[in-house]
Amino acid sequence: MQLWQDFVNNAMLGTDKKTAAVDTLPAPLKEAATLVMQQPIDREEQFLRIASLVFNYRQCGVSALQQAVAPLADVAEAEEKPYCSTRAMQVLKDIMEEDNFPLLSRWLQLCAEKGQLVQPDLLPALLSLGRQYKKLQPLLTNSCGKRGAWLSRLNPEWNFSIDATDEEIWQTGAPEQRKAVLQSVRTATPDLARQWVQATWPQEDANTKTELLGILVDGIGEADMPFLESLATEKSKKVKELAIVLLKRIPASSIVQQYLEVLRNAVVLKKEKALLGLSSKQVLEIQLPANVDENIFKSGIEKLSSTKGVSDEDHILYQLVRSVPPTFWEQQLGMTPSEVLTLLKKDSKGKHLLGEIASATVTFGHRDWAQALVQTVDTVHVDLLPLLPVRDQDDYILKALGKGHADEAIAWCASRSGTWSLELTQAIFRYTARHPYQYNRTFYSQVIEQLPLAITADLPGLQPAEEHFKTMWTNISTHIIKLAGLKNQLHQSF
Amino acid sequence: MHLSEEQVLALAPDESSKKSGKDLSNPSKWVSKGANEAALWGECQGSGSKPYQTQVDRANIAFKCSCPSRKFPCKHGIGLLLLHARQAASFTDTEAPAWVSEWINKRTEKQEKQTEKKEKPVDEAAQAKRQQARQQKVADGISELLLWVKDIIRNGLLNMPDKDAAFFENIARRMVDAQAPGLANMVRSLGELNFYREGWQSEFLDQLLRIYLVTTGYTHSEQLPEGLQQDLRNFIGFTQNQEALKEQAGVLDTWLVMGKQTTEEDNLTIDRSWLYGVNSNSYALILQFTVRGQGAVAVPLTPGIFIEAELVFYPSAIPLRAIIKKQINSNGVAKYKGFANWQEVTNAETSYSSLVPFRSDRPYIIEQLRPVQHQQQWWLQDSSHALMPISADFRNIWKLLALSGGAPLNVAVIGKEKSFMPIGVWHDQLYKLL
Repeated sequence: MQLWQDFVNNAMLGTDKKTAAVDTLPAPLKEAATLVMQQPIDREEQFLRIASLVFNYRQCGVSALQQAVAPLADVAEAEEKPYCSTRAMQVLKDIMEEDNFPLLSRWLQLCAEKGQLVQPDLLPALLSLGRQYKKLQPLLTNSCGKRGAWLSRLNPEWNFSIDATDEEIWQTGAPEQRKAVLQSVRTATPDLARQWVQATWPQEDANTKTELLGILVDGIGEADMPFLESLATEKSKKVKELAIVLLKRIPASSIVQQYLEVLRNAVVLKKEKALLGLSSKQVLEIQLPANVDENIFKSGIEKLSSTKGVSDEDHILYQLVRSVPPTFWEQQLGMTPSEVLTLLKKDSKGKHLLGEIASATVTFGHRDWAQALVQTVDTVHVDLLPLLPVRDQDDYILKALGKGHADEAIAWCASRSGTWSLELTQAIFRYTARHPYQYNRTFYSQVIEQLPLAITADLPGLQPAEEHFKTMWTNISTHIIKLAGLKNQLHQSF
Repeated sequence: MHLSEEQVLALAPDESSKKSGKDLSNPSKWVSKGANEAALWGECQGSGSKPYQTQVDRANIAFKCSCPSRKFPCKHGIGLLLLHARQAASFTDTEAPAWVSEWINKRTEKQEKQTEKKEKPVDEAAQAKRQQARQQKVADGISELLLWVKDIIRNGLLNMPDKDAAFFENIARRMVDAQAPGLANMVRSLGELNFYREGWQSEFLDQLLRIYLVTTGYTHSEQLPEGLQQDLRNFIGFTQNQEALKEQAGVLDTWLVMGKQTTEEDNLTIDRSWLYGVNSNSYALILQFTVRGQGAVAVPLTPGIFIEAELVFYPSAIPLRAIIKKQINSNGVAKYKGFANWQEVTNAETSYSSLVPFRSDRPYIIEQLRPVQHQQQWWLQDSSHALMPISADFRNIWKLLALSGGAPLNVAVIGKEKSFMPIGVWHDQLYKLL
């Protein structure tokens, strides 16, 4: 309103410099203002009185803006699925306040499984969390329904909830989204994932290339070889090196074949007479040939040992054993994995190779070898855990906890889905209770989904004997009980 | 009355009480618990040997607990109500133990006694003398304030952003001395203005003129209608005798608690609860003051619920502020009728401003408003396509959008002129706070 603005401008300068202009006032105000001006009062009082008139004239005359404005991006479509219960919403709110990612993700999962939707009040807060926790995005798309999709059309920051095909996301999505979609495609159809990467390869920068190659590790196979071999001419050293690392994981690759060739000449099983020639026994001879194929040193095998007590020759041998599939031993010696391991265990040189075979088992993902290693070898190799059937894992973890590999074993448990057994949980807590600085509340928050609810009853009994850990354990126990309560409510509310 | 979890949490005095209350909503923490029509009770095992006895009056929400906490309600009260909200069925005991029934009886007796209480004889001569003295003080204060205002007008607002806090605080203190605390607050809010915000000049002049209108109006109040005189007295800071007010007949209605705004001033917490009476179709503002850390508001009003109560409005040309004379109970959901469009709201605004030009914000329920974007700003569009801007201070636009989905909603707002702050909406026939 210009009239009011004139008065504000007047007031800015002050009545010393400028007096109120009565002439420009509209008729009804002018009459009143003229009366004010006629009164024997000072200029300030005159200004205040007339300005007060204009002030109320302005506020009494307010009307809404009459303008045709298009409604927002259409109206959100009606939902087809039902909303979740008020109780479930309350639990969701509590979980969000607790900022607990595993429970939040479980809540969304259950909501999706039951074919329900989040009530609209919490959608903005939830979608904002989706920006923070990228892994939640697919779940959010599911549980936020059509209202969520509508909101994300208005707020580009939430656009992950827009339905798009995997290929569209791959071609146009943000780096994180592209990686996520590539990962899932790689798991389902490895070849398609590689073809996608090949198609966009020239457009990617070196960093992205490294990250994409990293994803291809999962499900690597012979079909990937031509592509990986073509990367020998890449500009980036990082990419080139990673391509070699990947090739080394493919048994049919020329690199692995080179190594196998050397090993074939190095490992021989001989029969020796024993007990004055009355019986014979099998003796393993492991000796690198005098002239080793020099090509193996071009793909990363080190010539010189830097470990005290390990000769250069042994060092090369260990590296080669680590780099070939353990099936080599089956073929070379004509034995089952357990027989090979038993034989190596007895052999003075062979027993040093057991750790390398374990590494190779992990690299090439041989489940039968993993099982054989766990049964035959006393040393614990935590890396083997993912290759074991779940029922064997628990026993092996309990063994690892007692043999100084607790942290790695616990890290694996924390990354594994599915509820821990009560016995396993007790064993883990007995250890973590005595390391409260490393295993603080954050740890328990992260593993709450895996904890069996029954553990809450055992918490007092798991209190460490050391006085200085006792209070910390009491606090941690309260935290666990609280989270367990939330988890319980979560499962009951769906 | 059955409170939802959200409503219970809204009763908590602070965040830590909410948190502890939630922890205590675990059934294992309660040695015994029970509920009947009148009360909710439970014994909570604390750190002491004897469990704390917690009780809640359900008819007129009130708390009592044997714990030593100074917070009100304490975490046990919150925990018990939360547990009841979650698992009402587990409160199987309906026979109130002695410690509960005694308290409930005492409360009922006290309420009856209060209504019977006779007024003490008043020494009218002394009262008149006191009033005269105060009026003189106020009049002196006003003439001083007027000089201060005129000084600003003479020299211009241009250098106001450069003034330090003392410039405003000194005159505000002078108003406190002159027994005009209302004026003191008006002056303080001038100093608290955000001088970095575009348009502060207009806001400043608005407030300055309001001060001018109140002071000059009060000086000439004998020429003004009775209602307006009362408004002027209120703005100056004369208090109303609440007991006398409660003697008057009130408006009995089902009131929706549309929203609550809590502000802190010095050591005082001020709860502003906005109410809407469904039958009388009137709006009310209940102000409740508590000294920080000492007890609780007399009547806890939970936003979002309907209460059956008798309200007495403060005398005014445009009544809004009220006190609760009697709260009968709280229950259910009631029908309501809001303004049909912005035209109706602005008409009402015009009549309010014409009666009391210096008035403050008012609440409105407006039907079928749609949030829209226009010129990079959010607006509320009514059924006849008229637009009103949403206040720039509104922080929950996305929640409003999520509830609306682009479709029109019935919205409760607080504001005046061209700045309205949405405080709640009806979604699926339920009132949701924003």
